[in-house]
Amino acid sequence: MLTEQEFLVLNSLYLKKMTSVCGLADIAGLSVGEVQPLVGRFTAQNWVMDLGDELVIQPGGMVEVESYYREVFTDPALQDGIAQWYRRFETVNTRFIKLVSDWQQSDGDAKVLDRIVSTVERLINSIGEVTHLVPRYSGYVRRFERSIAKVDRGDLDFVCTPTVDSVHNIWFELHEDALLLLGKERTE
Amino acid sequence: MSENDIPGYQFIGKGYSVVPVGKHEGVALNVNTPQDMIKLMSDPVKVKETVVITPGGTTTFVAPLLYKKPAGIVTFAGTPESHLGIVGRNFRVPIVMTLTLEGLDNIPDGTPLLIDCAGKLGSVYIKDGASNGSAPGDA
Repeated sequence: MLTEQEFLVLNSLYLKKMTSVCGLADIAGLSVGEVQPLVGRFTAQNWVMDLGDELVIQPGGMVEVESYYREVFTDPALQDGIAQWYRRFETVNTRFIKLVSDWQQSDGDAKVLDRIVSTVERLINSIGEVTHLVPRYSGYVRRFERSIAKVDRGDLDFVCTPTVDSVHNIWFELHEDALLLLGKERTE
Repeated sequence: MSENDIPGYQFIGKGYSVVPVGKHEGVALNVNTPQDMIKLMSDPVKVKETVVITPGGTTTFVAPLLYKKPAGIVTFAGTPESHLGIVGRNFRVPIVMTLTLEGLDNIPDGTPLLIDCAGKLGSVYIKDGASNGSAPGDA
């Protein structure tokens, strides 16, 4: 089975789908020096495909990540706590997806953007309620806060542009993470 | 020729358009698993010529393909208010979601397609002479 650090890196690629070594280090909250040798090993084991400037997870790597989720996050208190949190997340998720879609089609309506930001801020607070159960979820808080700060400064790429660490990207990854942790299928 | 056909193309169905980017042509490829996606991803030239046919809007594994700008994406479920919709809108890739096929059970690999994403709805056409309604992979 993967070590905790191996999981952190491989899971980040699993959730992100495609990124560079630097991007992976940033998401995982590790240094490039820590991530590079792990990526080298994952590539040699055919768990990761190196496309040159980007990395993509391979089926073997996906199996490793999914096994880790199944075998490690089994504590009933953890499962129950995250399940309760996820029920609240589902409601806010529907609102968030609608708001982002509306914002994209409204030529950047400032009122809609305000509602996106306040929705993300509420999510940040609610993640804080479960970081004692899954400490790595504090990484999502770190990334959300950084991207929201960029949006506040007028860098609107950080709302939902897929090529940067936008709030929509982070939201999507957190959603996938929670689904995997709970063994649930995506419904939207 | 039915009323929905356009010169040189046979109408095969309609669905939700994610972003109004007009008409785009490409060649159909059914992408049903992450493995199919990874295989296609490793051929960037082929991606740009491909209209990815995928079962549902919840199949988020096709999202990375958007970074490589495929000719289009067609799904048989999901709505533009989804992760795939948001990312597709950003890349301005022609996407038709929840396609309802008319006169065909599936879109075989290799079928030359035209996608028209003009407004809220998107239409999909097959180049004249290419329709056979066979199973994916037969082409």
